[in-house]
Amino acid sequence: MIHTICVHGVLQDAVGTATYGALVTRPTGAAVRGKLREVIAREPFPTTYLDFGAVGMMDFSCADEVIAKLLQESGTDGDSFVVLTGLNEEMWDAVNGVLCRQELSVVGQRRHQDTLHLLGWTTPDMEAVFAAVHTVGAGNTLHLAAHLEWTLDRTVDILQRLALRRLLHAADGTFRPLSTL
Amino acid sequence: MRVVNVPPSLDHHAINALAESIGAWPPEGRLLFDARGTTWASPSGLTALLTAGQALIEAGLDRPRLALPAQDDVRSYWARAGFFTNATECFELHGKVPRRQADTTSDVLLPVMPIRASEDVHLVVSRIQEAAARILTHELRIAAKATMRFAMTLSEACQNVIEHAGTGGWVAVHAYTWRKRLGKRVVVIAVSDAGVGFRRSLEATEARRHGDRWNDRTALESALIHGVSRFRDPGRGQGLSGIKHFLQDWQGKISIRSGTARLSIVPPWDDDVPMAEGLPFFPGAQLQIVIPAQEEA
Repeated sequence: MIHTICVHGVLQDAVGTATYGALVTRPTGAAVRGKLREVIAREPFPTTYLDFGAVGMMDFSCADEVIAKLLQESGTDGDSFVVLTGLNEEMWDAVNGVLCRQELSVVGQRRHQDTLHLLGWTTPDMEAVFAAVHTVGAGNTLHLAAHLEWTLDRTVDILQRLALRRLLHAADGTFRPLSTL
Repeated sequence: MRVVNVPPSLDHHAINALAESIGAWPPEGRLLFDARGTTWASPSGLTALLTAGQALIEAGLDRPRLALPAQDDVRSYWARAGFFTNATECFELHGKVPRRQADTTSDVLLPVMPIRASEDVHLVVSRIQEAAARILTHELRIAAKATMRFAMTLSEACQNVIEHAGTGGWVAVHAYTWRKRLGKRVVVIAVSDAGVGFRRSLEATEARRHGDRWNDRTALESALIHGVSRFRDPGRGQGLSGIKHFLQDWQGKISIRSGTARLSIVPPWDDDVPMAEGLPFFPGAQLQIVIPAQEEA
């Protein structure tokens, strides 16, 4: 099951006014991150979509406070996964730059598009496996290795890397995209 | 009372002359800033002048006097630019203050606004977007999507004041034709604060590494060129880095003056020096961003 949070609503709640529609400044970002963590912790669903569709803009500092720090705090433990949706081109670039600098990654979806992509720090192998998982759907590692025409070791290594970064779900030789959890 | 001459053309470079006229910091006795002969002012000049007044007051000195420009049209422009709305905080004004209010209908994209807290940055960003869209797209031929990048640039520039200055500052954005240097329309963002400056802001974390070489120059290089922040957090220092990235796309120029040095990232169209050292001391930090009109596609 997937739970969606409207980030614009959280922003207005955090700054206490409906006047501002932009995610700017570190204090605002920290306040929004705090509220997002509260909501995510309350919900029983493993995957949370953070919908940025109604957010006007986001600067680099806020991208760091909201996204990068949220990912850092989540770490590799726990059962929750985050997907960013509704990102416009500028937000995508800002988040990408901020995450790349800190070698962090997240799953993202551009505004008005359906496809999920890796956002932030990635490698060509991570991109290939992520795309393949979303093409073939949930399954086992052997099947994916055959699809990619890779060795099993190489496939397992990359799947583990993606799973550790919480970019897909993998367990006991099986894997699934976050959108299917 | 000692007289400080405000240069006839008060722009980013003229801050040196203003600083020289103020003399050693903190100055002794009450100052009178004489702007009667000033005929032109850029947003950098206006925000720096406010900074001088603010810094004197914050240093515990008497509120300085300011003799306003003699020319009606110059005072009128300063009024439209929002200078007088804020100047009474920093100066005892002498001269006729125009009644007109600040506006953003023409070349003033953002009148002078104070930057003291996060809420001020929200206000700046919300006010700039409509004017920026009009000027950037129609006059500077920068793609419409750049409006958001412009607002991001402005937001990050303002946040430097809140995060690093230790006191408030001022921001203003104007568009005008830069005849002498470029012969084109430009948009100029100016942010000035009366705070501790880059050297003192970074001192605790950076000074030891540089040893005897630690000064205003190395502090500016650390921040603007190497993306160093006073915070250990690896996510810090991204604001100036993001600004540089956008300016590269627009062939824009960024200059930061702090203390006795000024560092600029100079685009091909300008002949400014990248680094100026040994300048007369001016309090805080003054950031200027110039974005020129783009060539027709």
